Amino acid sequence: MFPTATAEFLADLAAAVGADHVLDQPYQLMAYAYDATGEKYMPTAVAFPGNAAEVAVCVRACHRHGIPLVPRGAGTNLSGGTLPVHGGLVLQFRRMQQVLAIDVAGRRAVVEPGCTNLALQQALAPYGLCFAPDPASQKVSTLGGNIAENSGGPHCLKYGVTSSHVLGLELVLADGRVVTVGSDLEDHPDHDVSGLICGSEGTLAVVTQATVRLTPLPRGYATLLAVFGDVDASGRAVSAVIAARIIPAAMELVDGPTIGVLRESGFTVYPEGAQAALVIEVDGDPPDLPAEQAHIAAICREHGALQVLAASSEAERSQLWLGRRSVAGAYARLSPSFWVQDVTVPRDRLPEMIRAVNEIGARFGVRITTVAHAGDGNLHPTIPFFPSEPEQMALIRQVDAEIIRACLRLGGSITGEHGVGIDKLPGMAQMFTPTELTYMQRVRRALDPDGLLNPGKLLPDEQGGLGPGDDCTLATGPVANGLPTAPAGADSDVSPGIGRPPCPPVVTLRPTDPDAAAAAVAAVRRDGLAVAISGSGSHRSWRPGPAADYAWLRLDGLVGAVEINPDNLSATFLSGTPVGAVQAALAQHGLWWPVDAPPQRSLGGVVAAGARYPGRTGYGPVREWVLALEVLTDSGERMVLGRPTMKNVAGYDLVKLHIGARGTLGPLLTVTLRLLPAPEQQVTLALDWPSAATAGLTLTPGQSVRDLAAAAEWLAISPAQVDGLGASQRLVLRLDGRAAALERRVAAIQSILPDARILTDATPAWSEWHAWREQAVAALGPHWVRMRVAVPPARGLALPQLLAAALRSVPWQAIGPVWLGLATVWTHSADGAAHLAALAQQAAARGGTAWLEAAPAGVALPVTPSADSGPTPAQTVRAALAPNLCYNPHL
Amino acid sequence: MAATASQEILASLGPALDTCNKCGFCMAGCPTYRLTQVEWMVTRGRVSMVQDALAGTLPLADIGPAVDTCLLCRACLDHCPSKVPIDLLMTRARAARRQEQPLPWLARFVLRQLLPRPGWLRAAARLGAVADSLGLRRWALARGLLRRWPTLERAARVGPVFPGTTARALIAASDLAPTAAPDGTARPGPGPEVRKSRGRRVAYFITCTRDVVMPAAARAAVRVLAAAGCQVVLPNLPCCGLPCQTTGDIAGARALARRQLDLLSGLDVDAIVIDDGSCAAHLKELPDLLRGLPEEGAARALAARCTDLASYLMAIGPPAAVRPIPARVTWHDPCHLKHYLKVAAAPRQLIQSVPGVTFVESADADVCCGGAGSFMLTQPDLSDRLLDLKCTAFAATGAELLVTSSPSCLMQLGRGAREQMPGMQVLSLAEFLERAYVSQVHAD
Repeated sequence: MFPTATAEFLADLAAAVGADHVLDQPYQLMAYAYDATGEKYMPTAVAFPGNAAEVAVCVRACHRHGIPLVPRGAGTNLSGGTLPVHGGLVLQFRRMQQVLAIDVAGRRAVVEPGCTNLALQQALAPYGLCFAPDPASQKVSTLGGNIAENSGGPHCLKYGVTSSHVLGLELVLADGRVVTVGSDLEDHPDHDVSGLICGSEGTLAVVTQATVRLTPLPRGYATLLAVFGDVDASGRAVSAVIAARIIPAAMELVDGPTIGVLRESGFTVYPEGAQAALVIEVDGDPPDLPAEQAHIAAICREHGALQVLAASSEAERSQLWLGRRSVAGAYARLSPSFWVQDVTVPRDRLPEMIRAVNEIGARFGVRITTVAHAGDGNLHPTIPFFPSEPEQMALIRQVDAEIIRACLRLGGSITGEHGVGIDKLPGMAQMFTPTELTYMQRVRRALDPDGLLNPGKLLPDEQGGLGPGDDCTLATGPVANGLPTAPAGADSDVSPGIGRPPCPPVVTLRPTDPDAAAAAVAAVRRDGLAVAISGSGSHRSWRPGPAADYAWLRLDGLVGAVEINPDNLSATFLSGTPVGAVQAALAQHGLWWPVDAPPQRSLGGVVAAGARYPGRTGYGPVREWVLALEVLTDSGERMVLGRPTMKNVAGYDLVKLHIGARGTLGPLLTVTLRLLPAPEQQVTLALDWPSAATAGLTLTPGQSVRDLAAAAEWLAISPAQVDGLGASQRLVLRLDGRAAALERRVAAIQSILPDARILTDATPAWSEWHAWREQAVAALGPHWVRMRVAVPPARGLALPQLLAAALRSVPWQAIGPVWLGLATVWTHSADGAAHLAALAQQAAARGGTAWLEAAPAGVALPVTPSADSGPTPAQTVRAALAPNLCYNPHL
Repeated sequence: MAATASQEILASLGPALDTCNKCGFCMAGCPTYRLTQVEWMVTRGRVSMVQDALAGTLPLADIGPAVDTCLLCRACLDHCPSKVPIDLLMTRARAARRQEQPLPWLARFVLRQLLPRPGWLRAAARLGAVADSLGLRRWALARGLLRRWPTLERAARVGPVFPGTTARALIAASDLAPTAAPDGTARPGPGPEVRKSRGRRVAYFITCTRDVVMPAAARAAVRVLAAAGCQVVLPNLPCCGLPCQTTGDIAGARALARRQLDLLSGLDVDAIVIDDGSCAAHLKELPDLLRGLPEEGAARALAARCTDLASYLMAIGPPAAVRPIPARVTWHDPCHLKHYLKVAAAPRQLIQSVPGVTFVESADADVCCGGAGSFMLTQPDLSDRLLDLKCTAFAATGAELLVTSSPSCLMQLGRGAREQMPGMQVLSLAEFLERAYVSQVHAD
């Protein structure tokens, strides 16, 4: 157990934040004993820190006295995440609620954790921008809370969850150090620790500041209410809408029993016999909307809708939403309290899940009503109850457990957006294997070795699990026999290191199925060998190879589709499958993975690299398009991270951690993709850069080239190298969408960039994009290097000058979405490579950064020693999950 | 003994307490939470504390900071999915606290002795006026004589100033030419500017504050009603009982409720018009106060006949304005009017219908001003901070006239205007409308 607070501890707190900002009276403490879950645990003290430094002093005080701490925003979570179940210090952020900065052109804001979601929205609205996540609690819930819970809301199908919109975080670590993770840039070279922190429920670090990505406010809405006679028909309609290449902003479902309650409350809009009602809303450019609205209405009728109402004014829109929005109030008429469940299933299983819920309700004699974010497969079965009747509570717990079982049977997650807290702890062991839970535990123990950060939450067994490095020794020994190895000669010319590796692998593993991969890795790991991993080998990393004995794991034998689920817009492939093959397989189902990386690259490689790709402008980073991964632990055990669901906040988001980790945390065996319907049409436009640069490019939200184009890539080649391109710099734009809408958007682009001409045969433009690196490599000779550059997006249009200035004396090529402040640069490392350092310096001078992605042995950028001496959270996590650099030690 | 009585009261609240799911949406509406952002100053925290007192995890004395600071404004209910009956919970929790910790004697005297007796109340107000005219208030404040009684000192500073006359006296002396009715009530006849009576007969409820603190507003209301073609009777009434209820004297509130039923039920009028949202809301909710008691039915019948001035004027059709008011005008929603009676459009429509008016909506127009009856005396810090917030918002409108109706708001915002809104005049709705509807307003 934890020690109780002492006068000394309280004095330390008072010294940290000021006596006025510490609470210790019983009535004050009881006011922080609860959250929206309804249970009460009295904290030891409450402190209101005013800045990160004060938070750090509080955290150090807790550390010194062995007292746990619970960060708290508005305390609106529904899983017990902010309950001080072991007592301790509640850190509440009412003194840290400023919107510190809004970068309109760069589409980002810097926010303190106590700022409410609504206050941020209100600060952004004058600029035509918003913060896309809008959980139902948004009027009162805080950004810190949204981040800790990775909050969802009704708009996740189109806009993603909170972590999709968090770029970087300032954290106070368990030892009291203040660090930043992620970045305020659109790309950075580190592990995605901010993705890990999102949804970690305050168990890994205390968030003291967030840099969030902003989204243009929709310029129009079209809303429909479709009522169905059975829930399956509504499910088919949902799938059909998506199959028709429409991604609504919201698809909210209320089921038959809920309609019953609403009808009792006087909502006559639902006819007799209604068993499901969908509010479907599309947003976007007003001219596109009527057609989409009509299309959706037709689809709903086709699938047996009893009634379809379409809103044609803002007042009518509110009317159609009113029923859905009144559900909580209507429930309140049934009983004083209600139990809200939160489970997620693959979208196509939603009707089945709702039937299962109703069947469970009937079996236990409990009235269950369900509302769902149908587009996300996220449902909230709700049970009215009287807290004064304990036998009712026992029954509800049984029903709850049954619902959890049903959702897991259908491949779902035990929580889509409410979090684990204490509420879902029992479900964790049902959802995850001991291996997976242990893996999560290791992350937690690494970042919070003393177990003081929100203990008792998120993971079921605080004490269980492996300590870092427990099972990893570095003894070298003979490689076990019978391992799948590469064909003879396969490792003679290519290795994960440089072309001439410092040392050859002890053994080369080339498994052709995941079981074999696991067995092979387990065997070499038992022998203490480090493992270097490669995919297709197309993305050769010219960095120093492993210096010691290592096994080479080639994943190019793991090829093929595991599952393609068009209705769920998801698909699972073996990680060695080339992206081109993935897209071809998906195309047969009318589907598409928006990450149009070079076709020869392996899926696992693209994911592991967090690769840049042409559609990065419109579709965001790779992390947005991966739902789940199967990976190996450091001892070669198979493990599934994530689920094929649009929302999943069960446990830590370790998927994000592996994306962009370049295999340093372990090999990826399968990748489950989030998909889109293949675009109806794509139009590519090109123009010479000087024209684009001087065309007065507007950055007005919603109307800039950045918003109109799915891909907006600047391609440049240094004057010395100009060849068939016809110009040294070009802008190539790609627009995806419906034919009618594209015509208008092309016109809009041409009004901004009059010189932009449509490429009738666009293939060369994009294969040129893909061939760029090959060309570059060929042109630059054996010493080529590749760097990634990122500057604040608002300064992105200055990137061309920046590169030209820094690389004045050497040949180079570059490509990138400069609107996002990103470019990938090829040059060579001859002549002392001073120009590389110059480039990094120039980027840094503009608030950006540049890093080597591939370079010959011995080439490195000068490292500026950081004032902070401790390991970064990324290093800590890597050390915990891949002890002794056991995976890709050269990276 | 006292502990048992208080526990009994708390225990009766169990089911109502259970309606709170602790979702926290009340934070979006609660003015005291907006100021303090601490959990015991928001609805769910207040509910939680009462639960703690009921469960015995907190002594009743400890929940004062939670239950005594509730404005009873119901702004939280705009956001509350389960419509937690917060004002009922707070007034009953105060009642429980009163069992262990009675109010000071002066408060008890005012609630139990003065308010039920209009004659005493008027006499006390006259005394106050005399004391003021002798400069006693200023002298006592200047000498710090009231320092030992902070609430009293606060009352002397920000509380009512008594004009030394009463509504009835003003009306009697006015152009309205009242006549004594057979039942002993004064009945003013229709004023000279009424062209043609439309035959409506209404009772105008002269509330305590209208009577002894702002009688001109009462006279204005009668003039406005007369201008709208109403014959107005003025029943002689004691306090409606709201102050007793809010301070936790439920028995006292019920006693006054019964008096109202006795005096008003038999009245032969089309409507009982109340020009103060607080008293109006209280009368309309008397059935809740008397729930399960024999008088509940009569209370329901009475409630149906009670209405606020703005709604009534909109219902019967306001008179045509005879004079323009060329001014920028803004409106403050009294909490009882907005959040209890749900009346927000009617006063705005009345104001906007006056020629010459430029109506400017203020930010936070429906946030409590911090007057809130005795709240302005017992919670000086919160009250002042709310007033600052309101003054900032009203000043930003650039309005010259700030119109509202409840006396607490008029007093509080009047102080705000004096102290921090130069150039802003605070006016009751009745007096504003009087300027527009009545061709010639006689100087007092």
